[in-house]
Amino acid sequence: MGILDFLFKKGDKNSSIAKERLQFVLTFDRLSINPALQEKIRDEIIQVIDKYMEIDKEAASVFVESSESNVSHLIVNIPLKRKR
Amino acid sequence: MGKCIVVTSGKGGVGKTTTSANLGGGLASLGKSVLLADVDIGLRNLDIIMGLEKRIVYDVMDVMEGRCKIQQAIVRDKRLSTLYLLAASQIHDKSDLAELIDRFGEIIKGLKKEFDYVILDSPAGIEQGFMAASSFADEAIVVTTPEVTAVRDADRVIGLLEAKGIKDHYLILNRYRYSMVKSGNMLDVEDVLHILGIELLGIVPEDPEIITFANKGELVVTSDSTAAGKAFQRISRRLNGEKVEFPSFEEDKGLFNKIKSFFRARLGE
Repeated sequence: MGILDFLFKKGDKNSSIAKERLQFVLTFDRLSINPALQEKIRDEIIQVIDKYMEIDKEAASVFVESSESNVSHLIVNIPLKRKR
Repeated sequence: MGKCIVVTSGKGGVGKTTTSANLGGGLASLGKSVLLADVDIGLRNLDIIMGLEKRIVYDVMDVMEGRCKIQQAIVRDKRLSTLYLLAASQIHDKSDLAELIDRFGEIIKGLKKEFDYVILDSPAGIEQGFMAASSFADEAIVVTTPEVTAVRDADRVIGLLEAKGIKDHYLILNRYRYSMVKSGNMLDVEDVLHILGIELLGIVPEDPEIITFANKGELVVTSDSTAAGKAFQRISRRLNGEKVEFPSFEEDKGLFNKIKSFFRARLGE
């Protein structure tokens, strides 16, 4: 989703925005980590994979998400191209 | 042996003191003996909410520091004969805190033998006052409003209660505006419960009567004609172990719908 799509997402209820924002901050509150640390983890994971595989860095994503049962997961999604 | 319940929230101004007072009043109306203890040392408010501010001679600090007996510091409510208040001190004495907390624990232990319920009105925040209050509680009630700030702080408090081993904790969602929820402009109860992962004890609708009753020093729970009063009555019964249904959203009817249902009732529909 592009930035423009994100900014002008249609039909989003005000309360849904509140819910999404809360879930985001609480994920970090509960783990006592901040978005900057998440960035750092992301960069280092990509570096490690990059050592062995050729990867699509642009499309790579690493983020923390809370599941339905309120358990936090680190989701790593790195498209691989070929072995180095 | 009675039960000690701490009422807490993290964020200030969400209605902790009002909730404590009205749950105390609600339980007392059910015939239970209740002691309400204000733990907000330095910023006491339970006395004024209950209309007992002129009757306070001694406070919890006087008891802890041996200036009076516990019986002298406990004040009986004006209307409800089984409701009692132990006021907080207005003076913040910075003597040995650890020792004071120990003594406070002893007082609570003694009170639990005398009363069915000991309700502690915790101060806002997660500092010593909150820690002291939650250290001696068997159960906890977390009060929040459907606002992002209050919910975030409630989550923090729930985490701390769990760390303290208080497994029985319930949520009261205060200042709920059914109309705003309906129009999608306020977090709904399901959202809040899902985010916080906590059991619901009850919803208190936004009600201006809360302010008018507080102005008079009366408890809204004693009124059968107010929305908030009825909500606190239901919550008190649940707290006392009764199964009480959660009313549907339809309860908050606008004037138009009220007129409509009045005529429907007349027509026997």
